[in-house]
Amino acid sequence: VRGSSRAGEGPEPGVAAKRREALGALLGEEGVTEHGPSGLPLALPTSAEEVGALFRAARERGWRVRPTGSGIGLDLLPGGGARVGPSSEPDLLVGSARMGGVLDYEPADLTLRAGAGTTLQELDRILRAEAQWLPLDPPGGGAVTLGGVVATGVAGPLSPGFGRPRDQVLGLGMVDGRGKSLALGGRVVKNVAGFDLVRLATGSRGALGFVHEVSLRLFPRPRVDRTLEWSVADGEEALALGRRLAALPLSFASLELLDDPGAEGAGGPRVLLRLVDSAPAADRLEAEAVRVAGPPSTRLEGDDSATAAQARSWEEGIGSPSLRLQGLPDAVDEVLRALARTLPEAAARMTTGVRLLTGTVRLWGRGDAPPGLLEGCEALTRALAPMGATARVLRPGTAGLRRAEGHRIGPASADGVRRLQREIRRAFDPHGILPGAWREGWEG
Amino acid sequence: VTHTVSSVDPLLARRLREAVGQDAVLTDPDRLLVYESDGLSHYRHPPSAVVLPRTTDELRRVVRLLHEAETPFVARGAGTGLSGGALAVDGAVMIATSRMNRILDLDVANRRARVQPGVVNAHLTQATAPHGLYYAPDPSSQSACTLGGNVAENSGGPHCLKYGVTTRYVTGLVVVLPDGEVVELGGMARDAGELDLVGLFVGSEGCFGVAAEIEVALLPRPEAVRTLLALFDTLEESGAAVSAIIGDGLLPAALEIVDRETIRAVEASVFAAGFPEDVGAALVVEFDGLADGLDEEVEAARERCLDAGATEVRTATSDQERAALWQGRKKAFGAMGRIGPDLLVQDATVPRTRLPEVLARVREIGERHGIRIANVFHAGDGNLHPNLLFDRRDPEQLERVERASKEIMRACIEAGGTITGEHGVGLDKRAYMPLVISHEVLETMGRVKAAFDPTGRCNPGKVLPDGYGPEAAAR
Repeated sequence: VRGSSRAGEGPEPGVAAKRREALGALLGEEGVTEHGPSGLPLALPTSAEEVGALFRAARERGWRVRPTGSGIGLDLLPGGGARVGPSSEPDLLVGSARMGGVLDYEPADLTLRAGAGTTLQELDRILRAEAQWLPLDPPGGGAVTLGGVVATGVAGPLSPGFGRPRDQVLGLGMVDGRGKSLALGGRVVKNVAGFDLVRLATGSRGALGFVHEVSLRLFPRPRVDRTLEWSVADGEEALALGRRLAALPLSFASLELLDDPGAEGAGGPRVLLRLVDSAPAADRLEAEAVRVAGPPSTRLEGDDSATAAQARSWEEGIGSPSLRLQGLPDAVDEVLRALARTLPEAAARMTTGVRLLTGTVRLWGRGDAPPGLLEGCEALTRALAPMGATARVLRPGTAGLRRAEGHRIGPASADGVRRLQREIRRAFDPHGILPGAWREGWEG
Repeated sequence: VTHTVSSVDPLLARRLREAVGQDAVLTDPDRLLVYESDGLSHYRHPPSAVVLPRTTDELRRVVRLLHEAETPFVARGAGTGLSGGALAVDGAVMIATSRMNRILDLDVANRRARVQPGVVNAHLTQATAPHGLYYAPDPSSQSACTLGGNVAENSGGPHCLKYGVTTRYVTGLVVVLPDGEVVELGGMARDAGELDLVGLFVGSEGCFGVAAEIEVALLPRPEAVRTLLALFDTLEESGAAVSAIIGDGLLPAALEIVDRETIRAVEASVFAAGFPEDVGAALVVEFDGLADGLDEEVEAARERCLDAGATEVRTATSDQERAALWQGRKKAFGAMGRIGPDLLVQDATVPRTRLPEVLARVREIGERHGIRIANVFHAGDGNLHPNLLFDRRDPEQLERVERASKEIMRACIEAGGTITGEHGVGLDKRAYMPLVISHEVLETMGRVKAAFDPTGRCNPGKVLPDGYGPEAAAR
């Protein structure tokens, strides 16, 4: 008894209303609303118990449920239809908006436990008062929720200096597909009691359960936060300059080449180096950088540096679509050539961010996807495969998706890996109520 | 722990020899005794055979043969583990990785290495040093322990305060699954948006398969290191100094404490570090990174130590002086051998702010049970290593040690901590898992284990308590 929605067309009239009514009975009137863009019912539970009750009801009624945080990552079609392929099609959404706020904060321990609905912006306000911070800068900036950070597991430019979400998450409160409450990990920085389900859940994109609370490791707020920016003539020059910086035997917080062909003024090709350190160390890093790259065109300090970094990740999060390519750091040139060959229009129209220290290339645009993006992504995936590199779509955008149905928009995994993923998902969600943001070609 | 020694089926032994060579399969009981325990020596049980493959393909064939013969197996690195995780119970065959000790690829441009599981942790850092790189996780046993063992245990070490534990550095794995299938997980070049199976495999204590190849990220070697040793009259004062250092926004690479009992053991041994006799606790603080600004950080830490009541603060600048300051910490385990024939090292972790109260309870528990306890701990992480000293030939003493050990674990859990920070559950702590992990989570762990190992023959009897294995998951 599956939900009755058909790919790309949304539920039949009346079905959504009935679902909303049933949800209201479970969660109360305040616990149900509508997700504007898709028209799907959006359940807003306030406790793990309510999530459990919701999931048990979903099992009985054959609903497929997709967890969501800020909603930035959702690209549901009007009517609630699938983005690409039928497997990601939910009947309703469950959100964390009523499960925000800090639950436990002991600054001297450098750890914190907060509800999944807490946004990075809210969190930063609280941490700032104690001169601490969470060095995560995922796409979507401060609007992103902690639950979203954990569910997507996507790292921002700061990862060379401070690690990815998987490195900062100490524990999770989660309700699995059976409606059972799981307290995973803990709130201590070292913990090897049992299998590492915390890391497994981080980046599982809603396929294992609904994360309702998160325990995190924090850091002392940096004494110096400084961004050096070099404007350059073109992508070639940016790469050459970036390579000189990356070759220094030093540890930088982040190093990214940005090129936004659509932007006016300062949007041209540029190299951004972020220094997050003590004052003498930051000065030394700057001196070394200037020695190989010359004086920067712009220099941002303190809040200006942090705000500019946040604006960049915000743009990547809100603009759609968004692609992410990954290869070895020294293969970036080759990855970029494959991109220009297979997706010339996207490469020309979208903003490109190249992280030389990690080998990550991200592309994002505003508004609609360039035509042929998803089909081209398949060709790109094939072109990258011989070098072991990958391309995947973080958000495909909403334009022209029905045409692309069934297309693979991420690399295929080997059979053995697919089988493991399928069985692990079944361990958490034996009745298949959590499609997650998973699609054909990703799950086997 | 069972103490019956079983011998391997002769037909299986012959097939294994055909797969890996005559000299790579040990069945002689005398030679098997070498493999009867790991670093936690009061658990002993020899395997029914030991197989020593050299390559991924040999390993695959060995696991396949064991799977076909329905024979349980366990992988073992250097045997330095401290939780009985590499013990061959239930008639298991042991796969020793000591001959899989090659560094397969050192990729300086991408700051990564691909190694076989038997490569010794310190050897990797030695091999990368000429390129200005190093491998960050540094378990105390790093001169002997292997990368395969580090992956299995998600090992930590003194410098994990700043740099994080093994899982942060493992970027990809080639794994031989318990049925002999070979799968490639993750990889630095790859971001496929899959479940993080690398993150799941690291720390799975050999229960999900055997790592055949390991890809790790390397770091640029820090330009400068500064070490400081502060001596205190009491353990409490040293704890207060740690809190003050962290509260000052400093992030040392390491913050390590040894207590009076440990210092006495060290001073009475060949490792004597020249500590005054009456010292209550010694704190080692280490900073690394760019030379610029490092001295200011050391000075700030020195002041915090003096504020907290340090009677003496020594600072090292040369490598030789640094080694001397670390002596008391690094040789602690060796020195303890002198004051008690057997040692049970606990590994609980608590929130750092709860350390003083937990240490007081540990002392009280030791006194009440008449057990000498010497503390060595990673103070920055809240990771305690109370060493319970005893003689295992005395069954009554052994019983008291076990009671005290369990009480210490309970105290740590009550303080918001966990039963193991870096040594793993293995055989030793599996009965205590329900103290800290709920029935639902244990059951989920059993189901995840079953996804890798549906027959439960891969390192049986470890991590999960009875009733939570793959058999239970199938019900």
